[in-house]
Amino acid sequence: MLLIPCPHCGPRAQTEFSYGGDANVARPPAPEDADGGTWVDYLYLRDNAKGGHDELWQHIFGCRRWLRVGRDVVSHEITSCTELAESGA
Amino acid sequence: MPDLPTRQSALAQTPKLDELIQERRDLWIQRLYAPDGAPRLPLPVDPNRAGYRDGLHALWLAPGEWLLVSEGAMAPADIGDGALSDLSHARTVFRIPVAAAREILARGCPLDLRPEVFSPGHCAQSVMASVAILVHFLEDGAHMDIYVARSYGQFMHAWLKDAALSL
Repeated sequence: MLLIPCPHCGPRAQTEFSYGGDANVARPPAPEDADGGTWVDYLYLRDNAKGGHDELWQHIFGCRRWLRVGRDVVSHEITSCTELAESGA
Repeated sequence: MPDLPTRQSALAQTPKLDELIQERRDLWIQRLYAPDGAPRLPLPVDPNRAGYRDGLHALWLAPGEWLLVSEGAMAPADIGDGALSDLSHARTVFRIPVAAAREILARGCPLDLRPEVFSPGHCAQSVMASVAILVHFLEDGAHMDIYVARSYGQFMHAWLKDAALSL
């Protein structure tokens, strides 16, 4: 169980949150021209690298805000947690 | 011969659940969206806090969002520029004495409700038995109110009573 430090509500259990995937996936800049391979890349393929990840989480049972969470997927250490609207993404 | 007058009922130790878990009826409940605040209302700025003035409770929900609760309707003019959604018919509210409420909530809710963390005038949204709940520790320090969506009211009532059996 992760303890996610929501910037509004304080530290809360993972069960209050919904995982939203990798925070750094960029939509194809020209979607109408993107080929199948580009879409497969965008929708499905992830590097799953060991170490630090930027992730999206929504505090669905709390303030309902989308958050950008920095998490080490090996140690589960959470290094940052900011409101998505303020992180410029 | 058995000593009838002093024999204890077999159910004497069962908590009187209908007295312990009471439903609050006929509340006026509104969700207020007011990013700029509403100066005439007792809106707490800090997260997870509840304000109270003249019979009106204001429970923090999210930045710029509060739940307004009172036992009688308020005049719309008192609300300022905010947007209101009427939830009076959309919530079931349970009132439980604070010691029992801590024990019952501990059986299914991940909130930290220790007295040094969660004290009178605090509120928090969380999840219990997969249902979204809002817990309000009343300013009197004696009760907690638990808000759930009305459609989960019956389920939550059964769940709370079941959890209270082991108190």
